[in-house]
Amino acid sequence: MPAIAIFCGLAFVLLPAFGYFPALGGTSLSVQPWRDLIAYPGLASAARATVVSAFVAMPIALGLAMLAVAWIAPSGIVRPGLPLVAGRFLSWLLATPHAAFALGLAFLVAPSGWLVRIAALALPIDTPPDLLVPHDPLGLSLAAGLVLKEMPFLFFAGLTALSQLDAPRMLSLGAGLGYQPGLAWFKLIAPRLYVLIRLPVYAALAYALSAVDMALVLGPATPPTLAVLAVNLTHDPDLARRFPAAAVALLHLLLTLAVLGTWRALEIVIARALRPMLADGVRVPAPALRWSMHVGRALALASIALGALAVLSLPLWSLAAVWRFPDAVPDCCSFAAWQRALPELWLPLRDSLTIALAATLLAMTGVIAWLQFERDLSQRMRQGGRAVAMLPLIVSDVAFLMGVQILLLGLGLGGGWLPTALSHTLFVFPYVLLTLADPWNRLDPRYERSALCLGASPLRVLLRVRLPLLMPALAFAAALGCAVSLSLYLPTVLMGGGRIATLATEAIALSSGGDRRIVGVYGTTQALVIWVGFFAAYWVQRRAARPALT
Amino acid sequence: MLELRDVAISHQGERLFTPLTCRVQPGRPVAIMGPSGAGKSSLLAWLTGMLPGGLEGEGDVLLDGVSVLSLPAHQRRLGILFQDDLLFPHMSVGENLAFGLPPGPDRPARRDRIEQALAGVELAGFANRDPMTLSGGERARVALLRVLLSEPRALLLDEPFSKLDLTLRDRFRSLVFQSATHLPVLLVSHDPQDSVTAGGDLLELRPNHGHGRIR
Repeated sequence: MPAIAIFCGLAFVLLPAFGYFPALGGTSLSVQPWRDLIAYPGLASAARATVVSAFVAMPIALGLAMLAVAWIAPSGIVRPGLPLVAGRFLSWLLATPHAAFALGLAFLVAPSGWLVRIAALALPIDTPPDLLVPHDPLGLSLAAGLVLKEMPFLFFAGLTALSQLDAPRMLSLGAGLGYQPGLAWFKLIAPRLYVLIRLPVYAALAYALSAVDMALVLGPATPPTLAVLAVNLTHDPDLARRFPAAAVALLHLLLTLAVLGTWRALEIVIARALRPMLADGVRVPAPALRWSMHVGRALALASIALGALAVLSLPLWSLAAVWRFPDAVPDCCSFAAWQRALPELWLPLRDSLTIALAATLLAMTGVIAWLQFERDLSQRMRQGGRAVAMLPLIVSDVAFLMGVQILLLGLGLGGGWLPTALSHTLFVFPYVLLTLADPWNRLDPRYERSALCLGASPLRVLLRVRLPLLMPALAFAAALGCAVSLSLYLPTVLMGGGRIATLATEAIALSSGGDRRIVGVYGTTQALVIWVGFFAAYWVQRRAARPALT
Repeated sequence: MLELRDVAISHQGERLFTPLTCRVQPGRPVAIMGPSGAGKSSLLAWLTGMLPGGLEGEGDVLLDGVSVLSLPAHQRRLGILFQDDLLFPHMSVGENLAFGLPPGPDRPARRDRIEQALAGVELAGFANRDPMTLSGGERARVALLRVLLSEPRALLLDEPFSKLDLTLRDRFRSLVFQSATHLPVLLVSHDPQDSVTAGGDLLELRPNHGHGRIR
């Protein structure tokens, strides 16, 4: 199914990009959409802001995530004390949806934002400084947001992969050979860990290029990033604007491929340059390296703190009675904003939850069916199938979703609840698959064998033996699936046909209105719903019997 | 010379074995025998400064008369060889050995040193091989070379022969003891044959039957 959706989507973005789409009046191939596009004054800066924000953000996010792993849990076990606290904060940031996070960060870094207000405690500031932050033309505020939000994701990708590396013994071996622990980690663990988290890194990179929600809140405004430009063009009441929109989407796809290709090339160059360091026998880091590791660790801590402040500023604004500039804290507390928002909050909350639950249920059923079916496949087929499932995370979603939208339009179908839920499933599926595959394959096969020998049918074995034994993993996968769906912005905007409003789309839509209290209410609600899901999963895990894994 | 004085490991205040005292001279390996779970591996982990949390060590450990306990793990220079060869899978055989070799002087000299070392254990020309393509016996020899090239001040062996098959085991065992005659060698094992080949002293790790021994 993902393959079909992506294929159709890309096909139906390619044709209109060259002017052919009868339903919209384009009956012959032409390069007119591209002429229109090139005539658009801000195209070059839009492309530049897109690439700059991604290419500035991703190496920093990756570097900080690696340093955080090396410091918090070098051998896979979280160290007590400050590292444990930092790890808790990171999991909390990971669970915060992109839209809410971006809104919180905008509150934090705006000229009249919380950071300036905190600085005003010590400095004589009585008017907000005149800065174009967020929305700076180069996309650096967007880059900062991407760093803070992708760092926790890459951290947990690394922490999960670490269990495959026999890290405790490798590190003690390194120490036994005289290597300073930090350096031993970077020589023995980091190169192998990177190989294992390559897929999440590519997914984060693709996300950075196609983030619409974060770019609307933090990115440059006129011209916006390419992804935002494409979405804006599809909202144009003039249907003929779909042709240049398709051209932008196609350009976005090509740009994504070019960036991923460049990243891969850089990987090879850097690996070749660093390789001799593995064998140079140097056991203690040079002062410059040691110094930069300390700075990096401090930066990682600072970015966690900044992220936490950003998230905290949402509920704070939603409860603020009066918050005059430059007070560091508001007069607390007033539920006026909540009372004002609640009547309108109900509808997006309902749609968000029904779509999230439907997409998660569908994705979990699909993943369980796939994992059950996968066992009879060859290793190669299995990997191929999984790679296809990951495609929505890597391929430009701007491009293929726009294609699907144009296809629906051509078939005379509008958007709505069902296309939205189905498109969400495409993005929920890979995350559920990644979460469930490992516990699924590690379950001791003898449980099922003995149940089969007792005369139970394969279906009964699945329902009564395998799934109950995997309950903790299933609960977590379900919470993660709902979290992914509740965070999604672009699929809802493109597939909803203007009829579906979720917490994510409403929060972003309201953010341009400037009522920080109402935005705070929506952002807080979006984050709270997701956190509640994870707490429920945690509760199920605590109650379930210990998983019988080999 | 490596010296252990009243050394014991305890878990929640209970000693795993009665305190141990011994002197290990170069050329006269000492074997510490004991059933599994007696605390042999924990003892070596403590000596190298890498005792897992929850366990505690006591006593003193001296190398050439100086206590090493105040040094961090990576400055103790106690080479250790484990049951598994633990060759680094992201490095070639040569790079694994270069990882053990102290830094300097330059790359050609390091390469020569590694080639010579490999030739000395009948593995000439193996430097560019991927460790995954080696047989168990070959991997064991590379692991031994790696630790010897790191110029340790003593060699600790954590049942390094138990995973090899019988014929390989004898040959590798004599190779280890022959190549480490200049070093104090401390071996833990539950195979009596190990200590016989070692030709040195034999110590029995006695479980501490005081009260409520932790398994």
